[in-house]
Amino acid sequence: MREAREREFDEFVLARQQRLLRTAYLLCGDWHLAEDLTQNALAKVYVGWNRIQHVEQIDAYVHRILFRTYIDTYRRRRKREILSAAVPDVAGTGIASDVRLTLMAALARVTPRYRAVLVLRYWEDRSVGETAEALGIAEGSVKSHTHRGLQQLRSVLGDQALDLIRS
Amino acid sequence: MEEQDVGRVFAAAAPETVPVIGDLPGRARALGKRRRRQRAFMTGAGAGVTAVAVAGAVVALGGFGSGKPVSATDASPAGPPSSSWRVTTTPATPSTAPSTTPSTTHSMPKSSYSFLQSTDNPVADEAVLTAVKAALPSKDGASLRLNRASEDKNGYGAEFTMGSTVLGISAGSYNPNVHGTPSQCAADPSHCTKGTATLQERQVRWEYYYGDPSAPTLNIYDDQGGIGYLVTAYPGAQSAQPPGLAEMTGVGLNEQVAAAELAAWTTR
Repeated sequence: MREAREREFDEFVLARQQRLLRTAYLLCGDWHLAEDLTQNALAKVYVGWNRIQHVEQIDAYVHRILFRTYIDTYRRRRKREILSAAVPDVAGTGIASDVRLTLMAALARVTPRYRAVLVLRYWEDRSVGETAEALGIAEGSVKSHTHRGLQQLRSVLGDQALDLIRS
Repeated sequence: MEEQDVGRVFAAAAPETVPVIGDLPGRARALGKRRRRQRAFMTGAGAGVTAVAVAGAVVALGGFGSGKPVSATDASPAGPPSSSWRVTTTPATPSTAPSTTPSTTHSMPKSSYSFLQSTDNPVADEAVLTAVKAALPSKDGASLRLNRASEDKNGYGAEFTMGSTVLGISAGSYNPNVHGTPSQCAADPSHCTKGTATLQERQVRWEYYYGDPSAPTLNIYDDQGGIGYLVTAYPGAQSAQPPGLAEMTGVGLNEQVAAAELAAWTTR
């Protein structure tokens, strides 16, 4: 029974870890932090696995845990950590590393709470309502955070970088 | 920036290759089991009292947890800072001795801090709220809302919305041997002001970091007592004038605030 449950959990994690890590990386801007974040979120999933595995939209649920873990972790550690704007230490393809560096540096400058909203809205493609539900905040806050996050991105990136992205 | 540009930003920034993490399921399971054991231990430790090994893998500061509003508290102005603040600050240059001695006496937590009170305590919240309100900069004291910590057991924190700035204040366990001086000042000393002061009858070190103008922060280290205090302003960029050094130290080194936070946090 226990072995079966653990096997199900392992299969669940293996099937989703790439996507979770990629999202975590966009939130943290650092692979090591992304790894810690993903592991912490999955540990929470494991603790409640008996219940969670029967949740109807389990992927959305687990992503919600990831985002809330990120927010909690940030709030707990925000003044002790330096957000990294370093390029990933794995080979990237399809985009020049300097452009990627610029983008990650820009994202690192966006306030974490705003960044979480932007990642949910524009990377996870969630609606305002879904984003609010995932982060446990009001829809109005999602809208204002989106607006401010976009402002921050715009001010950091500037027109030149935006042209690069558009091209 | 157009909204579709944001999608492009993420698409471009997202790594196409994700590093392989060895046995992530196993590591998550191990961590989950450890948490489950801790939770069981805490639950069995008694009503609302949690035994925590401070020297363990604790997070030093900022224990706000997920936070949840407890009341729409009191929208009345905070009033001017108390004239009875017994705080001495020495910007930029460490001093060897405090220049004032506080006359108020507050019961201090036991040195080991082996028993920490649950933070989910409305009465304690109100005590902290009252104290912090008295210490807040009067210019921003018109709209306060308290969020109380709800998860962490190693510290006590409160957050206040002041206009467009969220001010966070917390006290928690701090072990200089374990944590060193875990602030941004170590990484970016050019944007840091340091000093010493007396707080709760102890000499403390404080570090004010302003390298990120949208989120100034004040860390206060009581090395002797094993207590860390943290005052944050976040996000200050939208504020007309984010709290500065004087305001942050005024709030963070306020005796009444410290006493309220310690009383809320610790139990005997």
